[in-house]
Amino acid sequence: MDSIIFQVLMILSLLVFVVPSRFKYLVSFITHVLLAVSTTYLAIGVLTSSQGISFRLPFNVLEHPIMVEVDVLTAFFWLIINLTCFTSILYAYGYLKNYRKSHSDISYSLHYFFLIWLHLSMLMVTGFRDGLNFLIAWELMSVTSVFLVLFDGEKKKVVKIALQYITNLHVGWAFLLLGFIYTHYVTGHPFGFEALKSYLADHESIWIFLLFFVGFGMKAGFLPFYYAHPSAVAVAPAHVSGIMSGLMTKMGIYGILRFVSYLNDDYLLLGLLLVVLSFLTAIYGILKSAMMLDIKKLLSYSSIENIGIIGVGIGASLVGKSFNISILSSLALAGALFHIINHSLFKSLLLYCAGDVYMHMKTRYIESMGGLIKKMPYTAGFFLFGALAICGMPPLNGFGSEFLIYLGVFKGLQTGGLTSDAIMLVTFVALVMTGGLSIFSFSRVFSIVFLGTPRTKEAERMADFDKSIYLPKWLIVIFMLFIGFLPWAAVQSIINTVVMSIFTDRVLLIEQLPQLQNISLVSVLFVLLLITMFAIRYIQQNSVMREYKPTWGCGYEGANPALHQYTGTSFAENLCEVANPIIEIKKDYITFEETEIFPQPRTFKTHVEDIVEKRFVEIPSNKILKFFQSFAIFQTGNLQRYVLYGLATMAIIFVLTILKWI
Amino acid sequence: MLSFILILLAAVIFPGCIALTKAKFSGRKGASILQPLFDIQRLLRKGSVYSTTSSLIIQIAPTFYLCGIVVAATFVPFGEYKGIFSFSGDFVVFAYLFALGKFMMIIGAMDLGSSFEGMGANREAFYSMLVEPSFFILMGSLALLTDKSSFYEFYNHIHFGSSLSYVIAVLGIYLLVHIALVENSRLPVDDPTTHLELTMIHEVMVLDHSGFDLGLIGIANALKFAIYGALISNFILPDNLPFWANILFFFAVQIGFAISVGWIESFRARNKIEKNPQFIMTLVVISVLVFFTTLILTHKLVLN
Repeated sequence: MDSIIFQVLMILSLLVFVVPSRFKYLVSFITHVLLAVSTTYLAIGVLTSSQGISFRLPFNVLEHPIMVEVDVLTAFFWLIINLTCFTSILYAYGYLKNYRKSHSDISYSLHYFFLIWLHLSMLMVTGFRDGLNFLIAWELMSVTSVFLVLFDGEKKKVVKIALQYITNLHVGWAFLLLGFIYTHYVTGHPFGFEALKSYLADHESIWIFLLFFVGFGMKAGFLPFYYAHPSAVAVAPAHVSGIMSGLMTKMGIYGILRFVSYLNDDYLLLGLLLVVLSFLTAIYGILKSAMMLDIKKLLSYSSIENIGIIGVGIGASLVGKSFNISILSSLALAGALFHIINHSLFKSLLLYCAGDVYMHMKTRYIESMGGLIKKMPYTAGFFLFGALAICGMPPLNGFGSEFLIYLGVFKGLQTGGLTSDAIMLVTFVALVMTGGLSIFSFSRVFSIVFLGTPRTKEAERMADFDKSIYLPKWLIVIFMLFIGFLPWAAVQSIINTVVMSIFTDRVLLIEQLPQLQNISLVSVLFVLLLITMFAIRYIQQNSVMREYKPTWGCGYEGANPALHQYTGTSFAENLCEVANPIIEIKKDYITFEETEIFPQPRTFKTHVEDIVEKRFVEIPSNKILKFFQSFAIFQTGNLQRYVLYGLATMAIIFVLTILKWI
Repeated sequence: MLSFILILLAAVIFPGCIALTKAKFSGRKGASILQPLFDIQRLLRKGSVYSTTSSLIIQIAPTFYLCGIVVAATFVPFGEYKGIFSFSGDFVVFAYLFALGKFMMIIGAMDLGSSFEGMGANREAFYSMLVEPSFFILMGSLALLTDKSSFYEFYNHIHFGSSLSYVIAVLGIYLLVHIALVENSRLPVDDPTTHLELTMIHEVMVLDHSGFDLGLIGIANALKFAIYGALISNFILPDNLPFWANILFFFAVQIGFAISVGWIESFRARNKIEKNPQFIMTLVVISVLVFFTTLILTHKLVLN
């Protein structure tokens, strides 16, 4: 049955090329829905029964059978993948309409085709255990995402960013390949996760963990490896950005989770490593996000921060496992898993809103925006909703996941020893600092983009959107409200099962559910209080006089309000001063000389300089490029020279053969 | 329920106490202790002036702020009596409800498109971000000390035995007083009476708010002070006192807190704005000190 559906899907994805352009969207939409519904059905079956399902796909790759094994962890990810891809294709309808004039039919067909295969490859990555199939699916995921990023490939900058991105992805893939090869070589078990499992049963895990962590971390976006992602997410179309930033990063987390589920010992070292790296990732990500001037890049850096939070949760859970504090290990892991769901929801919502802004403004530069709340009120409302959720504000869903991690950490403080307490300190300081920084960053971006007065002429136009762009956002908001007000429903039904499958010992998660019910009570009380206060306020406002006057300008008549309000750079400036060793704002200007009686026009520029990117990425890669450029002396362009090279090589081989060296 | 009512009552007299203290120290007669209450009553009856630049945000922000603080007040216990809500991890909900209020006030201020409010909003976001860790590390230390994880359980299980536990109590009170000063934008972080734009944080954020909304903000500020006062009084509430003595003690601590805030405001100069981050991060360092002291106290960190 499943194999028939798979064959149907393959045919449908090719059908996109053939149907007339009116029906291309419809065909791709139906494909996505079929895929989502069939796999969700399987996933729910697995989650409710806690029994895995496996089936074979109807063809072989390189004489290798393809088995899809759906266990609890896979089912969990399938649900998230299907939801995000579904909202993405819903959003694509309105977003892609803007490109009718500049893009041909074949461009659209390719785009839809790759979108279907991206969805399919993500399902396959989480479903395959065999090494060859897994690696091919991973590669497929990377390649399709790069082609989707290239939708706007007319611009040279986009091509350059896509090349950087594909390099980054391939380096990660190479590390995964190395890891699988090594485990297969040492243990002799089937190439893939089987070999990894048996390797971890007998051997020390730290080096193989590092190998796989680099591979999966390059996808997830951990600190030293995130480099190409933010730019790629920024130039991709908005629905693709939503998938890339909200969902594909979770594929890296999936890999790390599966690795963790095979661990037998060495929990402390790996947990400590994960906590420290995730702490640095989270802080760095949100720090960069608070200083970015490109709205989608900013959201992508914020994703890096959330990946850090998930990593902190997984690391804390491993530390709990090493000290046998089962409440810490189960709660922290539940918090991390919960955050995976929450982040895919609100990050895709935020990116779709950013897509709306881009559709209207034709730019992602926030300093040219302002006052957009009056031009696109619904988008602003959804963005605010997403911003509140991503900062972890109660009563929305972001709070539930952070609360679970906090609860686990504080309970772990009680029963732990010195080492675990020190690590717990680092964990919750990470959560607190990222919470504060994300409030800073998101209040900044919301205010600069949507509030105040318009900073350019483009921002003064009324926005005119196709009504369909709001549909995916309403869907996400409904899910977010449900999870926010009833967190225990999500935890009990889904997350409990997944945690039990990873840590197969006794789990105390059920006992913590009363805490989450209290949160629901508090949320409901908060909303009731809000409604009451708004009602009182409404009555009062109707009985008094309300006037509308310009904002207080301290008496200056000639002031241009658009120029005097805060800009994105000025908002971030005091944060930059504190973050000075890592991130600096460099100012470029020429001062006035004393002898300059009639001052010439001057320009003033600021740019943000980032020590991590400079030292770890730019300087080494420039050095490597220089080294390879020194070989340019061999490229003379002279055909005779090249023939000489060939002749010289053959002569050398001849001589060495005579000397019996080779 | 009891602690919530007590906090409300303390909030009524708190701003008046501060103002009266400052007046006495300046040699003035000072207004009555209920004057701020009358001011708020007047504001709640007045009409409003809204900026043409602003949108819905500035009209909803003060309500969110007040509701967040009111719901946060339900977590604070009083001696042996729990707050309306008391569960493991309630201090996390407490802190995040405060943060929700701050977020809404920040965007409400930026809604006006003015450089004044922008400055206040920017500084508010920055300083509250810097001071958050110290509150959480303090709570972490209490969790470590008492093996519990809610406000009620923290306060009821602190046993003052060795001299180190008194150090923790003193440092905890010092931290809570200063966190209250930073969060309410009082001296030495900011002077609420200068009305000079370069130094204001909270006062400049509400420059364009008027009428009912300004009244709500005044109520919220008073409540915030009373909540912190309640947290401090819980630290030093003696056990085994009769009920009426506990209530008297509570109000004595609240009035004492108000007088000390007034005293600091009268005699301490405002920090230079550039020095504020350093000042606030000192609080974080002190809270880490409290954490390490607790580790020593619970014999996890053994110094020989």
